[in-house]
Amino acid sequence: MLIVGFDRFLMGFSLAVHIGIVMIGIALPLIIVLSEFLGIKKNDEDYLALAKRLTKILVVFFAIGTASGTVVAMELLLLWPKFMALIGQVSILPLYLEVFAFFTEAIFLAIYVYSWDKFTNKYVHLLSGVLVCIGAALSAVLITMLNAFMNNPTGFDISAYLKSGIITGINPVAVLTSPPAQIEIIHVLVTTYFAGAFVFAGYMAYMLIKSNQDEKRYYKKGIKIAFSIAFIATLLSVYTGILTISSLEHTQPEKYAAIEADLYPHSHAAEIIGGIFFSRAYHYFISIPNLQSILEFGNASGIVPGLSQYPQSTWPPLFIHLMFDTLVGLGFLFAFFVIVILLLYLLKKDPFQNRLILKSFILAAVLSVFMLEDGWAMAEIGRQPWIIYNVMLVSQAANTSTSLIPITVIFAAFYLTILPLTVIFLRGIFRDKPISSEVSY
Amino acid sequence: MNLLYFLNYIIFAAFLTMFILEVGIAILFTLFKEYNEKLRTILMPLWGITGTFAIFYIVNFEATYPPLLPLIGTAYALPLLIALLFFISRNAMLAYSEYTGDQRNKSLYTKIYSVSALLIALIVTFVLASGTSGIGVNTVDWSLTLSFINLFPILVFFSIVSMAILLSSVVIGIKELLRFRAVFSLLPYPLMGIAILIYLPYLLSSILSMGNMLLLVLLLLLSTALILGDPTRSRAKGIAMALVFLSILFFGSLEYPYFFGGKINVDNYLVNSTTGFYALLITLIGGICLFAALSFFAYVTYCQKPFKQ
Repeated sequence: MLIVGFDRFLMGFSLAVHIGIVMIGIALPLIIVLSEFLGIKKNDEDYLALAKRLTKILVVFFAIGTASGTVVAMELLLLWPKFMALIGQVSILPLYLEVFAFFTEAIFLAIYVYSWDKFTNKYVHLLSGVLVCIGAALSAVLITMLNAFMNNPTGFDISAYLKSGIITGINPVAVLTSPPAQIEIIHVLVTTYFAGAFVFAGYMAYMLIKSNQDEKRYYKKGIKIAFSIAFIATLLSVYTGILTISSLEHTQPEKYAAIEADLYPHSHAAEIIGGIFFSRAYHYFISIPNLQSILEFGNASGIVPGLSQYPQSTWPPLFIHLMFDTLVGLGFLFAFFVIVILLLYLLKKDPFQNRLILKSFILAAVLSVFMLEDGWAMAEIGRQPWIIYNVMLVSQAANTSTSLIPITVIFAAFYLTILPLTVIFLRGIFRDKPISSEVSY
Repeated sequence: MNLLYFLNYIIFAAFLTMFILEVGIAILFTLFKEYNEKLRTILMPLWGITGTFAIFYIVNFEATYPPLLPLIGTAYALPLLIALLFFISRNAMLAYSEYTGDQRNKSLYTKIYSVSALLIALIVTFVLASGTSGIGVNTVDWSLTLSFINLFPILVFFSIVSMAILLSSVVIGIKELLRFRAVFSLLPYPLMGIAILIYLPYLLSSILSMGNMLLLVLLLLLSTALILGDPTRSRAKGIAMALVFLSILFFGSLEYPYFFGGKINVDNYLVNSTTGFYALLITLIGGICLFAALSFFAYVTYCQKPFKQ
């Protein structure tokens, strides 16, 4: 079990790093493309300089993101070989299609970066950026389909497989059209844009505080673009988050019950906020009567599932309830924040000049990344002990070679070195180089 | 030959050709400082695509041979994870070196990149050679033994280095090396010949098949054309690439249908026919789109001139 724990740690750590980087790789191309579009449309050099500056950041993160993505792809094979053997037979298509989405992103990013001065029609250059956006978003969509398969396996005869270990009744296309996957995909996509947009809104806010008057005008334009994306993504994240949790009641009831702290199935279920589980019960929580049943079924008499319906060996760790509460609390705080900013903007009280609001954006950037990681961690921990829900246990899929222990430690140390180095490097290259120095076409 | 094996090997050959070019560039960075900017002009737009080709090959392998994955994943986890560390380093150093304004730092990042790329090549060669020969893999529990380190991968590695120097010097136009092109284009043959004679003698009978004989003749013709022709002409670049690509295909054709020194017949480990059909469809349609996108990329990046000078 110790080796399985190491496998879990290495995979979880690599995924956490990858999610943090890939969020930038998905949201940043959209910010860049919008900036270039506005630059061309308004014939405004500031937007074009901003797009060029952000492109440099994108390339650096793309380099690290490509590496971390390859690490994750290889770790799936090396740490969970039996899992990949099943995936290869039943649901490899999203992973395989994702390669082509990734190619689209890589090829058109190279074209975008090295062809600013090669097209007389500026919209052709912009189009290559749009294709980077599409490639990045499609990569996220397709890889989430694979995750959705892990949560709701489909496309083969599961009962026959559980009885005999033989894979029959294969329909590899089912994984691409699974209805529960669609909600998860939309939620993953909007939350990734949410976190990525807030990171860059935070970056722009920081630069607005630090830079001189001449430089400020670039970042002010930048923060407006990032905030526009963040605003839409925040509201959609809250909405799709509610839909995602509701769908768990049918698709992964143990996860739902653990998230909602439901020990027993019951009607008139209260929404439990906070609480610590010990002595076979939750203690120290706030309860809002009937709210959970109403949110889930539209009426208080709806019966929510409880953990007691399932063997304790298949319960996920119960601390995911607190991870969920944190996520929901912050989600509503963010919704309130973006609405306030929008109102201030509509009332002509320029919110992007207020230092307190700018500092709030910096804090929001940190919190948004935390929320993205928290959401993913909750979803993955919530599926434990299964790697494929009700089909394959994590322990059944793991590579149990002891040789993996030292490399796990080295990997963690390496990532912990390279990520701060990248941030320091980016700070260094932009330190004495004003954004106005970006040559535009 | 099985179509799925063939397509998987085509993807592998495409990836390896690009990676061999990169290995050559990594070597040349350390040998010829005066060509550094020219080397960067070729490498910088290409490295991301080479990395994506690696993923393309891995995922296609997963889609083609799922029953083999537990064996390979168990046997090669450690060396491949170590190679991944150098892969992260390769990517990071390339990106750093592209945007740093300090020439000393640029040189340092480039050196670290070169070492990382060469170490990836070395480790991957050891893994591929072991997968081919089966040497160093205990096929009872699929663990690696110390005999994993032997002469076979070393001979293969020097063949790859020779091809890498040939390909990169032709593509970049390194005059100092082009005069030795006969050595670099012919050296892989005796090296691989010795490796096969010592470690995989059963492959010799495969050479005598009509298809492989024709492929061998074609390789010798391409080598001759490269040696006797003008290496600075643009068609020499195409010939050098074709030579490397077909050399890899030739080895794949010899190897078929066995991995692990004849212990595993890959035809027995193929994916089920339903998934195989869809994977094949995606490979063909995706492959055509990829070819079109790469052609556009090559035109815009390497052929099209800036509109404003």
